[in-house]
Amino acid sequence: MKITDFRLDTYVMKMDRLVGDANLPDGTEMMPGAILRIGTDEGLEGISLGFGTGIAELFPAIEGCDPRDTVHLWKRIRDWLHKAGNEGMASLSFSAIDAALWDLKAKIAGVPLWQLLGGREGRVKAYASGLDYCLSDEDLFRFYRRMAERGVGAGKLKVGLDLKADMRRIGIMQEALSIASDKPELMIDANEYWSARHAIRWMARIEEKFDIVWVEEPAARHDYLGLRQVSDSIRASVASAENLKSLEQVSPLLANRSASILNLSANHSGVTGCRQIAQAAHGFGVSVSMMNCQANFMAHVAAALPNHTMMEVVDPGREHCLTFDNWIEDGHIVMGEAPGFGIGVREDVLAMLQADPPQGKGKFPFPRREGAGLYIVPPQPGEVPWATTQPEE
Amino acid sequence: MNEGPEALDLRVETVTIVPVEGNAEICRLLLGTNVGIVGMSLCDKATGLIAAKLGNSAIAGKDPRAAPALYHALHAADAAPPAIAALDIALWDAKSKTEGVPLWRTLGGSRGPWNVMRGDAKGQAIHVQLEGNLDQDLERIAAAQSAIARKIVEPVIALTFPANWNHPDDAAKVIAHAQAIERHFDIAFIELSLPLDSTGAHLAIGKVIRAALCNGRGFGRISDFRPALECRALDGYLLDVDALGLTGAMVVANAAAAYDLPVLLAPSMGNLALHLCGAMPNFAFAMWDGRLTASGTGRADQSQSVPGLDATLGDDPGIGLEGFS
Ligand SMILES: [Mg+2]
Repeated sequence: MKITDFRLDTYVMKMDRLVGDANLPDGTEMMPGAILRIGTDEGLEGISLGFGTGIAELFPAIEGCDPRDTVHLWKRIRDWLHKAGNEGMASLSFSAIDAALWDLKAKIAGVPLWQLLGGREGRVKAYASGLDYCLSDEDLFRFYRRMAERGVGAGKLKVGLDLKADMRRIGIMQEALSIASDKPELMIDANEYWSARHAIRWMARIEEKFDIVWVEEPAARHDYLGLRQVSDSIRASVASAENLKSLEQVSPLLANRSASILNLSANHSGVTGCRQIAQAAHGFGVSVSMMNCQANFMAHVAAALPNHTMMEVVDPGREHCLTFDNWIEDGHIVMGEAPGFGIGVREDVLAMLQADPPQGKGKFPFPRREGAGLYIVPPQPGEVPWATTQPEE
Repeated sequence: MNEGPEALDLRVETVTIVPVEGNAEICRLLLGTNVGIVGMSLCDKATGLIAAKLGNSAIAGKDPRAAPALYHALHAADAAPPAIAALDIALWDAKSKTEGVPLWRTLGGSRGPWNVMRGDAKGQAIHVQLEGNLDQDLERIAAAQSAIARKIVEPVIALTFPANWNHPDDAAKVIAHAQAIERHFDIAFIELSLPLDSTGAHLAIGKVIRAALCNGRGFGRISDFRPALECRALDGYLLDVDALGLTGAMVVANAAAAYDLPVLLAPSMGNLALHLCGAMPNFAFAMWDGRLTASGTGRADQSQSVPGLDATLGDDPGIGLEGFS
């Protein structure tokens, strides 16, 4: 079997709600989409979802090759990118190609990807993640309660700009999740807004009141010594790595025991790169957590990792032009028997989105907020729909 | 929506061992399944007995396509590593036979050619087992080097230090021996037999010798490698698939890749470890195993070209070791 061609469809979608964090507290409801399809001489096609639009630059590295040799082809692209760097659009495109090839490989074998990768069952523990800095307290409760109604007893809240309000909202998340678990697992995510020392100070105050499972990106992604400092100074685990791209970039975190959890996605150099990092982490005794994605397609990869804890589910409505074969049940993402990632494309909806792009608030990617790592710029009047802490309080 | 074929109900039914004709030491471990596919691995008899017992209690009824998950579950239950390794290899064999492809393709790798290292002059790299007497060891290296030097400009020389230099206190002896050898030869790799957690000794040796320090042969738990990994105490990892299994070897290789360190594969039964080469980001050399090829039939079905300078894998499904002897 040979790889013959590819088709890349880009589009813009409007989600069901805003998503935001400390860097973009007022949030965005708009998101770009890119569907990559890699074709073969036997008609089978591999699909991946992502942001990579530089496919044409990399396609010659795999054209004419057998799509089943996924890791071999991954190494060809990795080496191709060696000098220019596995960064930015090149990295996203590399990731998209690799993921589509794994989808194709599983389709050739006629099995869902979790099975091809050696998982025992198509089932992964889920945690709810609101990307919720832009949600009112009421919407926050509603989101976590809706997830809890599907058995999800773990949640992650965006924090960083207003300690007292953040703590109030951790309590709201805890209360909403309490119908699914006597002791909801609580995580928080500062998205690199704090410095290491700031994280240590505010985590001390948060941990007076809450038992936090992990704090995500409490300091800058590359500050492995700062992350180690935080790890050594708080009770919660430190999670990081979501903005890194490859094992080489993640390795300082492993070598310095900077994080106990690595947040991984298809953007870590594809399925191959993501699995490599997860396996390397396993060698170092570190766990991983799969990040949220459209149609939760990376649950297939998570299901076959030896050290996976739980996967992030956001569910903001990003599947307009997709069909998919998984659902949330008893707090888990459950995958069906459709081969590969189990993703299909609704061509009519895709064509409509391309012909008449929706309009709405905000855009990707999130910028970095003023003050990050230096000082706190609290939410400004009207920036967030929840009660911020006022000086007299 | 993608319509797949009917989901295949695949289960291991029985795990048995059968002797290998003409070789009293080695047996085949066979995983019979409900669909007629048989997963196979080769191991020593003692390991085979334990593996069969373990397999019948813990693997029977399970889908072999979950090979890595089963591997991690067996280790979590603290079963004997070599028996887990034998089961793991047979499970991977069954998994790739189910796909109808050779194991290297199941793993996403490629057929090669891959660098092999032999004790004689047939490879591009030589591997010399030392015995600890300096004069004799220098002669051994010189003989191996002169045999290969005609074909290769800068042959890769790997030395395995004596197996009984296996205590952290042997570091001084290792240093003296290695330094004496490095006065005469450019050595690429030195394999030590110290315990894998002798971090202090590894670091002390590594400071004063030039060759890449390797260790790992015979170690079968992923956690065995953690002390060395966390301190970057080694310059390369010698992975022993017969102890660590294919699944474990892949994990440790990826952990070593965090430092961009090379992986060498220890000799494996029938050289089946070669299937891993293309699926590892950091494979460098495989030590050739002559235990089965010695009988004359070897991997003839499996390897389209055997050393020579390298080894290339063939197209037989699974590990491709059905046809020998
Ligand atoms: Mg995050």
